[in-house]
Amino acid sequence: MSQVVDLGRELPKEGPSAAPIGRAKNVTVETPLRRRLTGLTMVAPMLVVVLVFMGWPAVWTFVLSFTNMTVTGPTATHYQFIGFANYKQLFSTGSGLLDSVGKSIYYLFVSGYLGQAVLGFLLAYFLSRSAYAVRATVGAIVIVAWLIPEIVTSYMWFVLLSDGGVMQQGYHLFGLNYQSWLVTNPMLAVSLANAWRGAAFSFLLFSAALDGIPTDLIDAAEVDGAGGWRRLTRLTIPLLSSAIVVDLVIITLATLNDFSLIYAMTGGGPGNASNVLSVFMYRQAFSNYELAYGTAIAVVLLVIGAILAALYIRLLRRQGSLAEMR
Amino acid sequence: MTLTVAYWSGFNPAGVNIMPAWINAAAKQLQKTYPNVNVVGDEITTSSESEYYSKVDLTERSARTVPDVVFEDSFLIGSDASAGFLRPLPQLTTWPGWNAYYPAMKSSASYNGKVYGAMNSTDVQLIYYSRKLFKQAGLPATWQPHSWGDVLAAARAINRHDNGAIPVWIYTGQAVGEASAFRGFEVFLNGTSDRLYDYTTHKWEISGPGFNATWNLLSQMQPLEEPESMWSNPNADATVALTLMPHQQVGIVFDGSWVATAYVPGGLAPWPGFSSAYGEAALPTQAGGAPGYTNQSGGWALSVPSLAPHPSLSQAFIEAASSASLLASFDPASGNLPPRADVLTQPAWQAAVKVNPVSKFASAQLPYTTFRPNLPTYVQVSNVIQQLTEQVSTRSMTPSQAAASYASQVTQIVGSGNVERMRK
Repeated sequence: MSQVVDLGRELPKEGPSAAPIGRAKNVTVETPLRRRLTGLTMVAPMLVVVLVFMGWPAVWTFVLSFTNMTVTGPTATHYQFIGFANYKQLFSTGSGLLDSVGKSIYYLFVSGYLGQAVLGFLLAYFLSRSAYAVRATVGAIVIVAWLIPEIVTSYMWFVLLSDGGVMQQGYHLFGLNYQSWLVTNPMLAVSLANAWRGAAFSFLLFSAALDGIPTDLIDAAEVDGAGGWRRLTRLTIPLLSSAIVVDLVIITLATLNDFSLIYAMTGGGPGNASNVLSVFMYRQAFSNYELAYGTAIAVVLLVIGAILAALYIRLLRRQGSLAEMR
Repeated sequence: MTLTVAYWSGFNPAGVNIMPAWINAAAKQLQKTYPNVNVVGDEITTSSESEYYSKVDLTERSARTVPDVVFEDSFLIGSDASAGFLRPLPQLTTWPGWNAYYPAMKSSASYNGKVYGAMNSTDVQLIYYSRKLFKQAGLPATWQPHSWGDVLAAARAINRHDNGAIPVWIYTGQAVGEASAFRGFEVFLNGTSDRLYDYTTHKWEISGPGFNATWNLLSQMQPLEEPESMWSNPNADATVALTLMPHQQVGIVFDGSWVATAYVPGGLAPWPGFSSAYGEAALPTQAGGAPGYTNQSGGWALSVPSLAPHPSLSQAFIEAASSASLLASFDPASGNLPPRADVLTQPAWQAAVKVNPVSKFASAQLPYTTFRPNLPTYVQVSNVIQQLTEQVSTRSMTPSQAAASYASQVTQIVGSGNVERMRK
């Protein structure tokens, strides 16, 4: 930074009453302030886009959560501020919030962490050590699952698992009685579908990260006598730690906010059996027409996502500082 | 100039061209007076009716998205009018066609003494019973239950005889939306001494022997009902009408008068043998009390959103679309009953009645019919009922728990000053 200012000092002075430093005519001199302004000007268009299209809806959602706005009825247009009433109702017993939070956490762990992160990692790890043909074939299949639009995936799994579906035919082939998993265990059904669909993301992320580990490091460990398990736990996983945290942050947010897959497969039902937070929010806002109450649920969803993301980012920073100390 | 008419995709099933045909016919009438006006149908595709209502209400919030004419479920007129989404149409009462409407249909499209649209269709509820399953179970070939007990006894007889058949079909749960509140609860409650709303005191009834009896009935019906995998599907109406009934797999069906429309020649699933396979019966009151039968009707109107830019043109379209001659084609095609008496003498209606005999039986039920409270809070009360029917059907709640939950939830919605408890 000081170099920039020094450059200014070396500029030829014009006449005896020289202009103050940094004000030389026809020459742009970068002072810290100017530099900051330039930076700000550069990011301004992006900042405006983010504020208008992402910041404002979030702020508006927050504001609406303190009103009694509905989709229809007198308060649809003439709504009032009612303080924390929506939150009071939401956090009172019998509101269904706790039940929905529990379902969202189940969905996050089973379909997000287990089904996507762990499965994606295992796929990437084992494929990185297999022949190119196997790698290309399996990799392509996994990625195709990811490329299919979510709504199409939902219908595929619906057809697979519903009454009269492929699964039932399979059960009947073995003389077994099939009761649709969409009814008997809807959370497992939607988690399987989401894992199937989303494992590709973690797979790609970990494949790239694994490629970045120098092979001589692994070879050296092997020469030193470290077995496969030891190499995986002591070398590969620690080296992938930042990729793992990035993966967890993205998966957490995507899974918590996932709506269309569950809504298309079960509609949140039967009953409230797959009523995760996002579906709970939609049902309150657009089926029960309680728009403002729905936005209060959205705020809760936002806070849960933000807390988890902050935790992981903290973890990432810690990892970074640990690495520096080494 | 172009007028847009918003309507729900559910009224225009694939392969049947009901809505565009009607809108085009009305457009032709309108163009006789306004030759430069073009009319475009805007089909709003959603999987459930309640999502259509939400979508339409959201379009009505902005002048940039508002349609010129909207196909409006009459039970939402009060709610949408009080939201300020609909324009009062006082001039509609001076339109010559207005006098032909049944009085109940005029009030269906009104709220707080103002007219907000013209009805184009109505319906009644019927019981369809399988002649084959009845014969197998030793039940009469021509059947008319006179109490809830008669229905339960017949359903149990079918169940004893054939484990594969579904004894009784009753809409239940949130997936089917308004259908479970309307056809799975309210038509039964109307057969008791209790009502949802007391028009004399202007208060919501939140509890009473009729409420308890209705929840009890639903609980008794539960083991005889269709399985959860069927009622929890938003397309449950197609399951019963297009799969179960044609295969005679369901004994007793509580459904709307429009069901048989699918079976007429040129319908969604033509079935010439329908009348010999299923008979129709009227809905009995709880214990056969006067007048013996009960019913509840819905229906749709055409309304003009407040922000619509050419209200008088919109109204002219509504008048053209709601003429006796156009409704005489639209109502039977869409499986509805006409809202105005002069449709019954139209040749198109008389021809349709010959093809679909159910419509004759259905129109005979109109004297027993009632309507849902046309009030802004009805929509939320309906949602409470939908949830509770599901709780009772999944055995998550006992009938008395459902009754208590109904009373407390409705009190919370409408306010404790607007409720009353019936003790008879």
